[in-house]
Parts: sequence; structure tokens; C-alpha cells
Amino acid sequence: SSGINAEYGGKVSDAVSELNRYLTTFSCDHESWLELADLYIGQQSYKQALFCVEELLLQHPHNHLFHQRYADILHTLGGKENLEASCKYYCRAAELNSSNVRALYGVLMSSSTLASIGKISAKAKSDNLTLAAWACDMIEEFYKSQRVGKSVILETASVLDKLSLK
Amino acid sequence: MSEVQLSLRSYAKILSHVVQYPYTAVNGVLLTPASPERKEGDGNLRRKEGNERVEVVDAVPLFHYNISLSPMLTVALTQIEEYAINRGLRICGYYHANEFHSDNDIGFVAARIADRIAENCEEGACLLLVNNEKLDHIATELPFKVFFPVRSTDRIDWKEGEEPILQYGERGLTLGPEIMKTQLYQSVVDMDSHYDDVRCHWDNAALNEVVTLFTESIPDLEEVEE
Repeated sequence: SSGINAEYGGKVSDAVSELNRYLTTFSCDHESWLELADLYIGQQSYKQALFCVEELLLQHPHNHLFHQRYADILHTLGGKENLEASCKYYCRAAELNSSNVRALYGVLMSSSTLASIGKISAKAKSDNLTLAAWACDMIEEFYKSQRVGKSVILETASVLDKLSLK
Repeated sequence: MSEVQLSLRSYAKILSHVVQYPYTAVNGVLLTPASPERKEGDGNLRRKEGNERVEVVDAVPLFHYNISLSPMLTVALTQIEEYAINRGLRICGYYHANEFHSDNDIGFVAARIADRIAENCEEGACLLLVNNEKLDHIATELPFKVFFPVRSTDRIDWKEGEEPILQYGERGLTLGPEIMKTQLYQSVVDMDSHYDDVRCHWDNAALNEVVTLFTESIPDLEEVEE
């Protein structure tokens, strides 16, 4: 059977209530916002998780991890608007920190998914394909700069081809 | 009745992953040889007549953080598939450890990921759920429940099966306490570690070596009778 164990579901919602209460007073405690976001993500309450990360982004606008986290949640929610937004946030994360490989993969995943959606304009499709290709190059370069083994480089190149086709 | 056999290598990695991140859910994939011909010798059990045996030769730990977020799951699965193909392996299952000690059922996230993996399995898939309560008894038994997919037109139901068998049986079980005692679990690499530092590889070569040494130290190794 599916579904979180009812007892722990109860404890988790207690934790959620407590954190919400705490954060109305101590809204600058970014660790608590993160913890609350994690609790919401664990419950698949993605919209609430987005709200928490939005608070983090307001207070820490140059933190690449928060941009990437925000994008991860948007991407998980799915749908054209969310994917477009996630792509923007992944790009911003990569811009803030070009070593954030999750952000780079995120750009690749979101842009190639968007490019494959039927109902987009030819320009949007072309832009997304360009972005996907850029992300692939960045990822490959990043792996090479980290001096990973040659077989890893080859495998990664093949993986990137497969991810681009989606 | 289907059955799962776990190699020492895969057991070492799953256990290490669970123990290294005790306060969070963890998950990973299971690998089996891609070719229909099974490897003979090395204490692997012979095929039972008329039964399916899923021979898990290796495991790749996936995540220990925000495991339900999707984009990196797709990337990780693609990377592991590529890795598997290049080594004559294929993904044959999924393991999952829930966050809470007493939560030992298949939750929504575990089912969804397991479904996805089963859909991509040409044959024989399994779901290995870590039984957190049995982690105190790894000297005497494996801490897992096994589930097999029952496929209907639009869904997959996971039905509990027999407990898995460990390579080398009772002597293999001594690996668990050994991992705990030596704190070997600290060296486990999962896909999250890889994305944090791409120089870390999910093949866990260091753990593989230790398991090999452990295996060689088992006295009087012979094929285990069924």
C-alpha cells in the first residue's frame, strides 16, 4: 500500500506547523526555511516548498544553490510554464556558479524537454536547442577541467547525447 | 516464485549507503548481467527449475537528499544505464530506505521510482525495501523486504516475495558487522556525491576492493548448496 505512515505523517505535519510558527517571528533563519522546504518536498507539497525557497531567494539573491533548488522543484512540478521558469532559474544558478553541475544538467533537461514540446514556436524551439547544446558543452568542459578519467569523459559525452534527444 | 540473490558487492554498497545517511531516505538501483547466460562459479547459486532468479551483482547508490525531485533522477539513470551497457550489465531493480525507523512500507515516492525502473526493465525487476528495524540484526539476517512487480494494463502493483539470499550465505552475513566495525560505509559514493564532486565515481571501486579482500578471507569457499 502507498502513502506515508500515518503516525509519521502526523509528526511531520507537527514539524511543519512548528516551523511555520517559528518563521513568522524569525523569518531570517535560512536554515529553517530550508528545513521547511525539505519537509514539504518530502510530502510532495511542491507549491509550499516553492514558497519557502522564494523566501530564501529574497534574502539571498546571489546564492546559486537556492536558484538551483527552486528550479528543481519547478521542473518536478512540470508543465510548460514551470519548465520555462526552471530553465531560467537553472541558467541563473549556472551564471552565479559555473561549477554547479546540477544547474548545468538542469539547463540541459529543461531546454531539451521544452524543445520537444509540440506547441511551441519555431524560434522557441531553436532557442531551446541552442541552450541545450550550450549546456552539453559546459558539462563536457567541466568534467574535463576536473580531470576525471578518460572513460568517464567518453561515457558522459554519450550520456549528454541521449539526454539531448529527449 | 521469484527470488533475489544479492552479491556481497551490492550488499556492501546498499548497507553502506543506508548507514552513512541514517537520518534521511536513501535510494539506488540494482544491476544484473545483461546477457541471458549467467556467470558460473564464485558461489553463485544455480538457477532453480521453473523459477526466476534475479541475480543482483552490483548496486549504484543514487541520492540521500530531496530524493523525490525529478531532473537529476533522469540524468542519473541515464548515466547508470550507459555505465551498465559498457560493462555487460543492465538495471534490474531499485532499493529504497525510508527516513523513519518504523516506516517500512513502500511509500509514494518509492513506488513511483520503482514503477519507472520496472517499466524500463526488459524482464525481471525487483524492489528492495530496507527494513530499518532489522538494521540492528545484520549479523544474523538481511535487513530487506523484496517486492516483485505485478503488471496490469495501467499500473504496477508491488507484491512482497521471499526474503533475498546473500552470496555465500551465513559467511557472507559477517560482512555487515565488519562494515559497521571498520566504518567502511564512510567511503560510499552515491550520485549526489558525484554531482557535488564529479571526480567521485559511483562505481565505488574502493568498496569493491574491500569486498574482494573480505571474500578471499572467507575460509573454505565452495559453491553453496541450495
